[in-house]
Amino acid sequence: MILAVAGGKGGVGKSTVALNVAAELDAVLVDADLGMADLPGSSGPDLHDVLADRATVEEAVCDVGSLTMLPCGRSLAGARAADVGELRRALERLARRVGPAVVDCPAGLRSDVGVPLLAATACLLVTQPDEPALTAAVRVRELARALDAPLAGVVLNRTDDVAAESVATTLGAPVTQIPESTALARAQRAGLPVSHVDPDGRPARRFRGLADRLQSLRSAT
Amino acid sequence: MPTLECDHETVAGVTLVTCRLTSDATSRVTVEPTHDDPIWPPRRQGVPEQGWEDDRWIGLVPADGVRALGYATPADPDGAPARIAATEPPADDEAVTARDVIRSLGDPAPTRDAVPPTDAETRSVSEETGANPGDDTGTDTFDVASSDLATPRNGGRPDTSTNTTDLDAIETRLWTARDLADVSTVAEASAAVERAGGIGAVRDLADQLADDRARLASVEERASRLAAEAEAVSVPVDSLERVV
Repeated sequence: MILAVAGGKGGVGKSTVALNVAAELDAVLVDADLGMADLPGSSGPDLHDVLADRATVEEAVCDVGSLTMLPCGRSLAGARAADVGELRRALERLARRVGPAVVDCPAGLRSDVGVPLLAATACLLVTQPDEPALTAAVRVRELARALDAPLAGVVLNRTDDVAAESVATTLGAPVTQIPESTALARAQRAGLPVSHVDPDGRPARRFRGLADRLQSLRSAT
Repeated sequence: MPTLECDHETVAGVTLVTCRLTSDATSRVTVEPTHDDPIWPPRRQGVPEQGWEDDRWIGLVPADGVRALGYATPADPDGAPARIAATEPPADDEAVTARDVIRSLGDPAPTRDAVPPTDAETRSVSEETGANPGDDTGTDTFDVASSDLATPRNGGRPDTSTNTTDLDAIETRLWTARDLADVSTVAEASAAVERAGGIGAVRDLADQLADDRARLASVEERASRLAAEAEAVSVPVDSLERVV
């Protein structure tokens, strides 16, 4: 399974959701934000090296705390040398040889979002209940449709128990609400899933529920 | 049966090739050059136009229709510059490729101008212009040392490259850090923070100094290793002069 986590707009919580979903699914977390990586890094080869044909995905995958990651480099030179056209092949090889992958896509609607969607077996949209974020999510949903990436779900971030039927209807997938939480923010700063910081809190329980639904996709692919 | 008509014109050492493909039935056609020289296909968003891959063009020619294509090459062909290499019926489903996505959505890679030059590139420009590296008036190169980009945020990988301008920048940061540390009253602290550019800049300074410490440790380790290696090796100039 390759699950692309995308949202269009920056700052809506894509990386937080990707990290927590990857932890719950026991999948490889891929930091695919080639220009502005913000998930934990490593001192070894990274996705820039894979896309510049300097390393294989197997060589670049590493353990960061409790997570298995394909980290991304931070340098502009690395981002320039990376060939996004090779990303699909890299993700497919990762899923085939290492295991299921959760891909944290960058903001925007350029090919660094399009190529992961092209490779994805499913897409998870992350958004917030405001007009710019929802508009961006609709655009990503359209791109995902054009590239045959089925929408597995929508995460409405930093909300709790709001009426989300219209969001589910508009985007065409079940909505999971993740409430604002200091435990979640603290865990993300430390590069940890929230289940390690506050396992019984609402965010951790919601991520577990979301992962249970996504498991069916994983077993189907 | 597809047919190919080609024409070419050489201008200033570059040959511009134009091709016209026709067919009486819809066909998937492969066109390749008749020479071994490189070809330069038209590009969109930095990648070759749809159909071009590995110095060949593969695409559909509609029944009773025309497909036009062209490319440039340094070759100066005597006869026809291109030929039909293969013809097959169209596939039921022409799959979208990653290159198609880049062509449509754009390449996200930063432009060449946004990437700080390496030491080797800076030296190369300096040699060409005769300018002193780091001399702003002589070259138009990016000043790595004066930019935040010089801070080694490369995923924690030890960065052992440095030069005197890097060290000058670190020295300046240390001077500011000492200025902030040497305060004993609230008024002195406020003045020092203001001189440093505000509390946000102070936080950034603390982060940068943490990176500086790691970088200096790497440089020190590399310098010690190189010094030991330099001590251990000598070039046998006399012996080499006798044998060459």
